[in-house]
Amino acid sequence: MVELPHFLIVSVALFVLGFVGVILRRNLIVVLMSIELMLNGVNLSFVAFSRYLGDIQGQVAGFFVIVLAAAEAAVGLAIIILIFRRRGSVQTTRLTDLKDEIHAA
Amino acid sequence: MEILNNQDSLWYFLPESVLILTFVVILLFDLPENWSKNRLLAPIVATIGTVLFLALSFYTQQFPEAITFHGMIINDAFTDFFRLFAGLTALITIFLSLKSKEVAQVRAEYWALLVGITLGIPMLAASNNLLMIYLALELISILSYILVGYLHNTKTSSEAAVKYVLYGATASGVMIYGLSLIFGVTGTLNAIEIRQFLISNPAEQLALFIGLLMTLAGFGYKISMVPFHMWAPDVYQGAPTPVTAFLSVGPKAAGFAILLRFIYTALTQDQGGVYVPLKYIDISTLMAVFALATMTLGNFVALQQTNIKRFLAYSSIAHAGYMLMAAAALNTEALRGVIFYMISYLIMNMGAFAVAIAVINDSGSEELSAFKGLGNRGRKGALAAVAMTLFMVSLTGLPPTVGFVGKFYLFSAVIEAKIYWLAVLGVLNSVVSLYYYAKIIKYMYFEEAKEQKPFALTGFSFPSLIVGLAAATVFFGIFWNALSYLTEISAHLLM
Amino acid sequence: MSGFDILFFVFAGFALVSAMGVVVSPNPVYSALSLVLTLFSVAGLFLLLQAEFLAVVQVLTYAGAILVLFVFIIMLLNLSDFELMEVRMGNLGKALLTLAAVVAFITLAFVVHLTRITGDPAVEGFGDISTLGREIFTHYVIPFEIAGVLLTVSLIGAVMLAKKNLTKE
Repeated sequence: MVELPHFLIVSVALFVLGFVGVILRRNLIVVLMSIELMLNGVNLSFVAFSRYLGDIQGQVAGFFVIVLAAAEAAVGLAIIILIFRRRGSVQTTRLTDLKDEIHAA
Repeated sequence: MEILNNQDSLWYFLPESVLILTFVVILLFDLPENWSKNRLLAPIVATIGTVLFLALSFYTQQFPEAITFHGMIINDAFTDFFRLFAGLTALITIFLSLKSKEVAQVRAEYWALLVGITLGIPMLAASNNLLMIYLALELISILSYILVGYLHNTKTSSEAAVKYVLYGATASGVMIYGLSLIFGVTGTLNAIEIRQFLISNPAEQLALFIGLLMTLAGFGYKISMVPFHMWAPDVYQGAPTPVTAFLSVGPKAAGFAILLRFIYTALTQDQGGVYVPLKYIDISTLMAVFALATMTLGNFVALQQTNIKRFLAYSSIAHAGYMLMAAAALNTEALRGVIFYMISYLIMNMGAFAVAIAVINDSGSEELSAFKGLGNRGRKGALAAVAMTLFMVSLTGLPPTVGFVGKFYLFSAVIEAKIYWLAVLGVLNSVVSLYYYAKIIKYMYFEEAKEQKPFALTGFSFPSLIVGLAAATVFFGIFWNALSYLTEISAHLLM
Repeated sequence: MSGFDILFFVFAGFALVSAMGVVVSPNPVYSALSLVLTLFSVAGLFLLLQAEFLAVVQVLTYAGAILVLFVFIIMLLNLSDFELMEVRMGNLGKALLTLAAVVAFITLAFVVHLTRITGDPAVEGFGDISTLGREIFTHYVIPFEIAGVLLTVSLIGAVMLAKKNLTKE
């Protein structure tokens, strides 16, 4: 019998997979996609809780998360275009202009 | 306690509505070809809008405190304070942006985005609903990403923006997952109702604890709390300097506001000025550890910096650590202390950034070595050096400056809460910070400048802003009563 | 095993396998296509949870708009083969990360398993558009307005950032 925990475990799995993608992948576009994956996990969790609590607020939250994911993706992709124009690459490993320089004080 | 419906709440929303209107007007004014050529039009509209916002928030201050929009937003003295704070920060930032050569060529959108972030600050500080918190936080974050990446033609600006987006989006994703767990366990998104749930359901729930930790990650990212601070130095260094100044004060203060409001409202119970943590969540010790880690890391890494913006970034991380002590102390004194500290931080940090912008304008270099010999470079150079010295002394927390009074209030709140080890280690941290703040003073007076030309700080308004901020640093350091009156009336949370 | 259960396992299985595909496939285009599959499966799960409107929004906005944007950008940037086959971390790093992910998953799964909600309080027409709409336009009207501001801003910001010559020279 499928109950709330089943849905939640799927949501946790999506979230963790997305997080792994954020850390593992070097391609900025794929990193953004992994963030979308995390947000999908969040949404599933909200909607599942909403259903089993009988509280519509969870679905409202899911609605707003989708809206914000769209906004974030748009801005994120615009910035990736910017990076690509400057450097001709979308690899995170190329982002090395800003870092701590260790000096002997 | 009154929960107003949407119609009655509209009057309370008047100041923010003006900001939304300003935002739209700036964009519309940019449309006609001959209007958009006038570079001063947009900043003037932004200034008028912000001043109107401040005036209206004084007007709405007279309304009785209330929970508005069906429990979404709380209008109390704390919110009023952050309206004031956001308005002042925005005005100073608009001024600095006009004076900085880096953003001299900006178009109207830049000012519109500044106004947009200014809208987000009081919204975040006033949020009572978890979803509202998330939305206001994202409003500030997404606008900040755009502003950080604003300077197309520099490599660092776009790199800073992309790092900001990745860290920010991940942190907010973790946070919203935490919020969903809190929602699942408590069955509500309203912070006040979460407290009532915690009081009536004392049984331990691991999911709630994990949810809270994940939520703290989101807040921690906004205030650059260790270990969620990694984005801050890169972003602060890569962003245009006026934007850095704004980010290090405005959005950070908003992050603190919501962190404190959330902890004080949802996780503690007010018992005559002392906020007792609820149930098994020892939020006080947790935040004390975070505070200590944040200030220590900030101070020790700042020692090695050679870039002025990166240096100020680590300094601002250290100051976030001091302010986090208010989340550990959990009493009314701590709220007062942190509000006082924010005002003092606004004055001294904006002052330091103003001088930094003047130096960057003059030398075109962001290296600390550009400060060398500043004190001996003519009348303007001496003025800038004296002001910078005052800001550095204030950031260290030495009398007779406003930074000292702010630290004094915060540390006495910590002692009041009997967390002595944090107070002792915090003071030791301030001693460490003396070393690197003094380094700048040493550069300005005891080192030779690369070229002995008079310091270029032209015009009347920019020097007078620097002098004004420096004067405020000393004035409020000696006569702090005016400010402490403001903090007393502002340190009130409606819950 | 009821039809509900079978549908759940089908959707959940597709969601997880394709999510895996997003993370491990070397080519961003494959990742994007896997993500489409994930989004559709999650929409299916939404349907099972009586969130009909959200399921539609998920398909229209996510799969329809956001994913098209992603694919469009991938094509626009015209990445070289080298870019597509990205360099990844070493075996040790991968192993450690997988371990950490498994630990995180087990912890979180354990946590959510403990949430003590049982029973099925859902009523007829729970997640339909009128219930949701009423909630959004009464209690959540301010977040809705702020979301509107946010979308406007990010639209303007995205255009501004991606435009070529912004500063007047």
